[in-house]
Amino acid sequence: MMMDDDQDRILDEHMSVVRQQAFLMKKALDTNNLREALKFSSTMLCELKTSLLSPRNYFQLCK
Amino acid sequence: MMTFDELAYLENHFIEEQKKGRKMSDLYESVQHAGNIIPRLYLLITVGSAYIQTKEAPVKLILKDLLDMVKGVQQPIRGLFLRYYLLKMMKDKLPDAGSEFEGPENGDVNDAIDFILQNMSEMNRLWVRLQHLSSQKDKDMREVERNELRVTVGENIIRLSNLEGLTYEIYNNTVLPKILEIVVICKDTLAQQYLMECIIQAFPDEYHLQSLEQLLETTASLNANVDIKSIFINLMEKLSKFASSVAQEGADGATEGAGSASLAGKLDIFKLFKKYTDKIIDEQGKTIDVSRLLELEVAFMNFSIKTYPTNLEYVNQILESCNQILRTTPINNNDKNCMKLLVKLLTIPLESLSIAVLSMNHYPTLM
Repeated sequence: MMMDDDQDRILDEHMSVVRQQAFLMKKALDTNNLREALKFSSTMLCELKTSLLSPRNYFQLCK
Repeated sequence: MMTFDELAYLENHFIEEQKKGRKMSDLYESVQHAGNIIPRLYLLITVGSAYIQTKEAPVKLILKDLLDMVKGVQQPIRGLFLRYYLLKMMKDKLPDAGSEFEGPENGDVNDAIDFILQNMSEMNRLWVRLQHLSSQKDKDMREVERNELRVTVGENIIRLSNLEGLTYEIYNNTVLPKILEIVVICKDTLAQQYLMECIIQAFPDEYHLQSLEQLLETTASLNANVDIKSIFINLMEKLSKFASSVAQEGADGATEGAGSASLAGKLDIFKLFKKYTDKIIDEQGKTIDVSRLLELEVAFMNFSIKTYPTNLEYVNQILESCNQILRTTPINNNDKNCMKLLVKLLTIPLESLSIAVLSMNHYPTLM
């Protein structure tokens, strides 16, 4: 069974990727580069492919 | 602020793009090139939401297309949250009665209901399947984990109950039968228990009153482990509160007590509850704890006194059922909980009926 510490760390990792890609997405949108923005948003959304998180932590990553 | 919130920023930008002359159909097309299915579908729902807002396509077509597309994700957690996002984005854009999104091409409340029911059915299926996939070895822990996600499924019922166009006819003929079908066929204790409670809490009491038999009848088809007693108790408590508030309004002259008239009148709610509580006692009397049966009778007593304040015969019949329970399963005088419940069963009628209780033949027997 995975320890809670591991879960926290994995959630943190996913969240930081989401934040970073969201930042890049917004920057691209602000310069009207939709193509780039879609690329960054795809990378951000790929974090939701994870199967390492408990349901509760997956919820945290989404909402 | 997490992923779903970041997507709101993107959605706003899609709407800005449209104002600058970009066609939504092009955007809707272009996000489908995303390589992986998860990002592709989240982006599609996000554009779909903007598409509906800009009114460049009929709402019901977008809803149908999105429902078809999200079927592509069958892994329980990913599928469940994708559909949760779908509901979250679409719930204020449904062609509900009186909504700006209703119309000959956009669809009407039936399309809105159809969308939510289909989504709910799939979400419940994914939620039930979740138990087989968890990383948790321990079964109880897995149930705790699943329980934490129940609101995602319940959200569909809440949205249905808030639809302006949800008349009693539509509720009784379409919505309730379909939800009950979803509940029964899933054969999962946790889901059945939760969804039954959701139905009771979400929909109006007037609707419950008129469709009570359908609801009570379904309890007979639920899993043996479902706590039917608590479903009954919640339903009775809710209906007795409703009855007393209607009676109060009637007394205040606000209405003519129409609700309580129908409560005590053409629909014999008492008889229905009596029929199904006796059924529980018959079928589960030997397997569940006697105190839980007595709790059920206490709730029934409260309900009866509030709803039919002058009906001694009803009180007497409940006391008769209690005697029946105790004949089948005698209880020990040291069982404090059961004794407390028995005292309640004897004092509740005393408070409102006072000395008249002595005219009932089953009252002394229970003493």
